[in-house]
Amino acid sequence: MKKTLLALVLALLLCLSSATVIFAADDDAYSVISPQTSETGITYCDNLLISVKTMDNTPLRFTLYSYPNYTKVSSLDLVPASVFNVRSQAGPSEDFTGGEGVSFYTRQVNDIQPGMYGLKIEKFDQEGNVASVNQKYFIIESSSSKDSAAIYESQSSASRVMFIQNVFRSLFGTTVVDVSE
Amino acid sequence: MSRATIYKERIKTVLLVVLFITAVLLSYLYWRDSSFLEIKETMDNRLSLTTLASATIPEPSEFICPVSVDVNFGDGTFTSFHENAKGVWDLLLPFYIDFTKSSGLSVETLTDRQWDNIMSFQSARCCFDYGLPVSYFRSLGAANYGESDYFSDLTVLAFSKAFDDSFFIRSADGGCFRVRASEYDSSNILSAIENLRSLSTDQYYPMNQFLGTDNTVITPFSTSIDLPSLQFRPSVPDQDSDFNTNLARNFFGQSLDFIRTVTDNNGTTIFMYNYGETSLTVYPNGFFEYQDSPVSADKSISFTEAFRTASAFIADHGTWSAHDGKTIHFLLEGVDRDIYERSSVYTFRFRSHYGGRKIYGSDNVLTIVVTGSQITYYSRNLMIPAEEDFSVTPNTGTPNYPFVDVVSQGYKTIAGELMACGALEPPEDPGVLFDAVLEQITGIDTGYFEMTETPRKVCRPAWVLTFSDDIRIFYDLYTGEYLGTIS
Repeated sequence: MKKTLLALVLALLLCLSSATVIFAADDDAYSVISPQTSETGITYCDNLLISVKTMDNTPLRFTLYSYPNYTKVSSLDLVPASVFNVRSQAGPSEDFTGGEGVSFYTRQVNDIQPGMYGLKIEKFDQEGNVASVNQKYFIIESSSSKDSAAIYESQSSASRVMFIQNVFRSLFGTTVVDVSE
Repeated sequence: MSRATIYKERIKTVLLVVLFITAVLLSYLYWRDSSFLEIKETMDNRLSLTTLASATIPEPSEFICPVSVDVNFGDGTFTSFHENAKGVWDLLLPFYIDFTKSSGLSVETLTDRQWDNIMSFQSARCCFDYGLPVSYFRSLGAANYGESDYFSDLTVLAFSKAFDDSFFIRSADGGCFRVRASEYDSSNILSAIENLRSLSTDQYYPMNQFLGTDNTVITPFSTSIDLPSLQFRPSVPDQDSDFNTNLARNFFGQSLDFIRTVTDNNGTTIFMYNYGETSLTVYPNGFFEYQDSPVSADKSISFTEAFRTASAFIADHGTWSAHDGKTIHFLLEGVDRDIYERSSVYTFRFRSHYGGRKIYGSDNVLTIVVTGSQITYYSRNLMIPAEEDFSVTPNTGTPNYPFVDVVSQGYKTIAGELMACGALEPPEDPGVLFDAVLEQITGIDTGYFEMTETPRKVCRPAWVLTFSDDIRIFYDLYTGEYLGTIS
């Protein structure tokens, strides 16, 4: 029984550790599809696509901020707290209200400069008051700085996750959600 | 010998001479309208394909074209070539042919995840919707580097800046491979890929970056695809003419003396030879179907040889053009390989297209089966537009209906169609239906959907969503209206 509990706790930690960055900005009314970020929170591109899936007609407002005090780090987790204190708006806020079913808010930011950014998503109630505010942070690095040598390494990392998942699957006969990417 | 016996023998001799002369005379009367050459031609048509007339026989390369060439420019922008995929393929293919002649080539297996990571760099992927045998590339001059030990055909041929000493192959059975050279100068191909940027203003994104799910199919984001509508009245051969007989002569030779002909009340005519082992069925609308019993030849031929055999047969039996000689353009849509009594069996399917866009519908398809070196099946369902009734209505600047709206508004309809085809199980949680539909998409293209509006036919420009098992669902390119499903 203890072993089962321990394994469950480990599985939970495994899921949560990588889900924190990715889904931090999600809500019942929407989920951020792009920018996709790796476990480090870094996206390599020179032109950014923002894509948010909405589930209903809840009014939303999207604002992109940049953080000028950011200095290059290898992971979002390593960004000092002081960096978050200073931000500037990168482009105008955009309001979006989806349809009754699935809709997508999309925005392209061309020639985006490397740095740290935050996508602020405000959700409004029917009276027009802010019901909730979420922010998704991510780091943009130039596509030319992307290193292909990591392809084989990331695979071995993924293989390890898959191995652990398979172990849990064989132990409990259940499916562990893959949130490694 | 008695005198009576001698008389008997003389009478017998005279009778034999008379019988012989009569036999010769009757044979002459029977055969005088048939020349020996005609008889030989009939037999040759049955027994061999090597004596085909030297009609214009197109090369395989005229029909082989990727369904799309997907380009990742590496800076966060993507595009996809469909209409002019042939041009891009012709541009990139020579790089691969040259690459195979590089020194120190080796093949290694990749996982799907490694493949996706490699393609996330600047890359170009030529995607086919059928497996293209490696022997085809050898017929174009590619060197044999032992790739057959790893894969026998490919559905994707790609190059990526991630490893610019390599080409990347995805085989028909889903395997991913890296073909690495010990030394390769990639500057020209990288430059060619970069130059593709100027050829397309349409923007695409991998589905997982745009709409979610794990599907990496390249998805239209912002497009300005300009397709006209086509309207036509099919040209049906005049039943009073000798169309059927002339067609039969294509298959059985000028003399149809040994051919049994049956015409039913609907106007369908069946020509049969050798107790029905070979038959040609001609339908009133000009469609026809030829079948021949396979002769156990115990012969295996390559893809290219089989293709040339099929191409020559089509050229010589109904031609690659319309009945009235108008040129029709075809693309290879599918190829299947099988074995029959140690003979290779290739089935080729061709579909006509207009301006590089395939015309989908129940018709407009050529199917031909090559068993060994023998054609055992050939059908031609071709709607020929009557020239005076063929009209092209240009698009008057109407923007494309956004693809994202097609799936976000129409996913329940799509799910219903997939469930009806048995390609999708109803998910336990209806909330995941949208993602379940996206997961099933294997390709997104534009083309024409043929709709019957008696007596005319209308080919409407359409978004073409392809799913597994060749299921295709069509939405109007400009209005987003659901047009139909082909499975």
